[in-house]
Amino acid sequence: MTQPNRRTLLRAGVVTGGAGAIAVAATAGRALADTSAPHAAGRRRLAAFHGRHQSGVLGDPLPAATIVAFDLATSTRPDLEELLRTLTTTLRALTTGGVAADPGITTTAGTGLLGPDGPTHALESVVALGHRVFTDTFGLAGAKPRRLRAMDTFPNDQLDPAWCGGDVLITLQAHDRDVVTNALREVCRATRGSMQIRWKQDGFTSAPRPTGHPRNLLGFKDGIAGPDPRDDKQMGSLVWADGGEPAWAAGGSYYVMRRIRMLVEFWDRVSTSEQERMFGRRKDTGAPLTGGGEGSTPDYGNDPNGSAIPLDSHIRMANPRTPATAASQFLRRSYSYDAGVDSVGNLDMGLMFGAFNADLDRQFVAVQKRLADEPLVDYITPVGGGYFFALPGVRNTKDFYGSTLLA
Amino acid sequence: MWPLAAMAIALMSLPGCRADGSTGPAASSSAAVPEAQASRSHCGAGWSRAAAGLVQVRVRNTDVNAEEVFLADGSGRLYGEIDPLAPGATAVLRTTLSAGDYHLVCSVNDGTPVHGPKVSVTGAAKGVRGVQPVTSADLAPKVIAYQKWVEHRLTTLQGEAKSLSTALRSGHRDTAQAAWKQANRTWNTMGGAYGAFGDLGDAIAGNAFPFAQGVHDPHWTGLLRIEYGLWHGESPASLARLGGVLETDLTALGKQLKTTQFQPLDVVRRTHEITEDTLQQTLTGHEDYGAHSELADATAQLDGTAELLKVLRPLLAPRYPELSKVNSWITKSRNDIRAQKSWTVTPRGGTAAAGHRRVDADIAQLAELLTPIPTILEPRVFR
Repeated sequence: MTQPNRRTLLRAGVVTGGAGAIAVAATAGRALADTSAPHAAGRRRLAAFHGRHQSGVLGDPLPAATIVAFDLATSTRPDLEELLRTLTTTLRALTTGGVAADPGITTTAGTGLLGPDGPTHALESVVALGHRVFTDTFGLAGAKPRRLRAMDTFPNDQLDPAWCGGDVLITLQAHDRDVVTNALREVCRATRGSMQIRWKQDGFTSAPRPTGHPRNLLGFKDGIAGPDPRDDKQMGSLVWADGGEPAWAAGGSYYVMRRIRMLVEFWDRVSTSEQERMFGRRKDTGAPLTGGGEGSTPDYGNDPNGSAIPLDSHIRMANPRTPATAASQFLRRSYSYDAGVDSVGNLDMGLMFGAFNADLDRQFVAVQKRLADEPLVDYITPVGGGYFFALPGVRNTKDFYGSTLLA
Repeated sequence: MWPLAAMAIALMSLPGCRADGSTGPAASSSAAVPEAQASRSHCGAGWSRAAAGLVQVRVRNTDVNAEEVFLADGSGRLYGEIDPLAPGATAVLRTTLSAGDYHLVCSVNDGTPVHGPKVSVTGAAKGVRGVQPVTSADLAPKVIAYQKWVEHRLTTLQGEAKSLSTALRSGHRDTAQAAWKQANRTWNTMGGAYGAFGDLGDAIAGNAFPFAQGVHDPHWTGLLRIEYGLWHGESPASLARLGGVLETDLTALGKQLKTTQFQPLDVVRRTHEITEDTLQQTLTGHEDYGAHSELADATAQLDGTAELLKVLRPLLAPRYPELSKVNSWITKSRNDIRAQKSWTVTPRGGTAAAGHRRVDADIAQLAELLTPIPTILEPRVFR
């Protein structure tokens, strides 16, 4: 069973130590054989770890994800810097993948979840900071992104403090669940004394049924409309932090994460036509109710009174497609979640709603205010989440998360 | 015919790996995993060179007995091992090596270990630290010293149990609770994690989970049972019988310690097991039967770990560069525990308070720092 053309990127590890006291796998990766390994059908190529932006922002949500909020257990700036450096080396090594270096008999080896020769470049990640990091404790009060704060409570929210906030938010995504699980365990192991998990929700992205955008747990295609991540100009105005932010923040983005429970039992007892009027789209095709297909633009001009797409439907309230509201679009990157059963035997499932914004208030907050009391609120309940700032990308092998912030 | 030999995976040597995490120079070649025999007569035969960085060698036991196989350098430091390797079996030994001369050591059961021929490793990549192995003979005096300390603690505990019994019989709840706290603290310094004292350990301080009727089970005895009674309105006098049982069990434990010796491997593992127990049983509140003594218990457990490390220090200090960090993290844990003002067990489904998370992070980090110790100090037969 020889595989001469196997793509072989290696991960080397050395055991280093610092005040956080951590075995860190340092990375040294290089393709030694064919670098264009075939990707399984339907699997998009993942973004590189190094770059101006983080790997997990622009790409479509992958089948397996986890969203984890941590609270810092450190209270000094050097400790914070060491944590961010450790996160960098760990996630860089995990992204590179390949054969894990062996620690000999100096300590225990890694999780082994991915076998002795794990997949390479199979992980995307986002590391983001919450508002409490930007305080005098770390000498960072003056560096806070100007909109960053504790998440607002909106009129239809039922927030549970246990599911809100956090100092560091990490989103990990991959085509395969084991890659995500392995990455989370290694990240936690490397940062044990520096931060503690506050809340964690695994997420997933369903396969397209039958084509187009994946469906959420209400059965509707989700994330159809939105800016084009391949359009740099659009990304510049809608996703990446703008000139009003501190200079260090260039390349970063406001990252909103909301845990939205979907009351699926109730929803399944509602007629499809009523559901469609709440969304403004056909359930089977994803087409706007004004006609066409999934990719068609809703024709509000010929439907001024909402006789096709009701004026209070979700898509019409969220994005009225007027010049005044064009700048309030944001990049949605959401995952479904399935978290067991509630106290009356109903399923606890829904959406880990993720949104990247250039300007938190101009975009997410403005849209959320427009959506207040939309008919859909009877079937969805935001129960947690937070506002975070996704750090600029790690540029190269010398760089680390937050290097411009801590410079 | 070696069946696995046919499965030569296109294997690659490891690119350079710098301590700063930057990409180092690429390795010069990719090669199949080399193979080596491991027997008394042909230890290391078939393998003579490797490139620095990740090194893998497929080792086959061609002896008639099971063995352990080590990869060592000329000074006797070890860099990797396969333990055990059955006769006829094959396994891959993996490690990360800097340039230098190494060799395999075939430690066949009940035989004198045989050192194989030189394997020269070349290249710029950086390897892991070698570890000078420790034998059971090296550990024996440390284990005896530690056991003596435990026996000394047990004598103290026996006296405290007697005071507890007296207080229970007298019917004074406050006095009994205070006596219980003292005894429980002493017990928690003794490293009773993970069945270290066997069935007697369970009788002395087992929780109620194994019992069919839980906290109401008549077969449940020991410190935690008495805690449950003292903090759930049972009359102290009604618990006096349990006080007597505790004293009897402690006497039995004393006899057991006089006649049986701790196993070196068990003692070495205990260096991190006590802390694992702090995380799993103590800080979670799993063994809180009313006294809410989590922080006192955790501190006592830290004392137990510190004592064990003190005894092992002469063996550990030259082998574990992070040892000073272990000690400073124990100190930090103690200080952070002492700083807690309003400690409560985190309710199920609830979120831990900030102070709780700080202590959790300390103990979890300590567990990580203790992780290498059993691997480094595991008794090995190599000379």
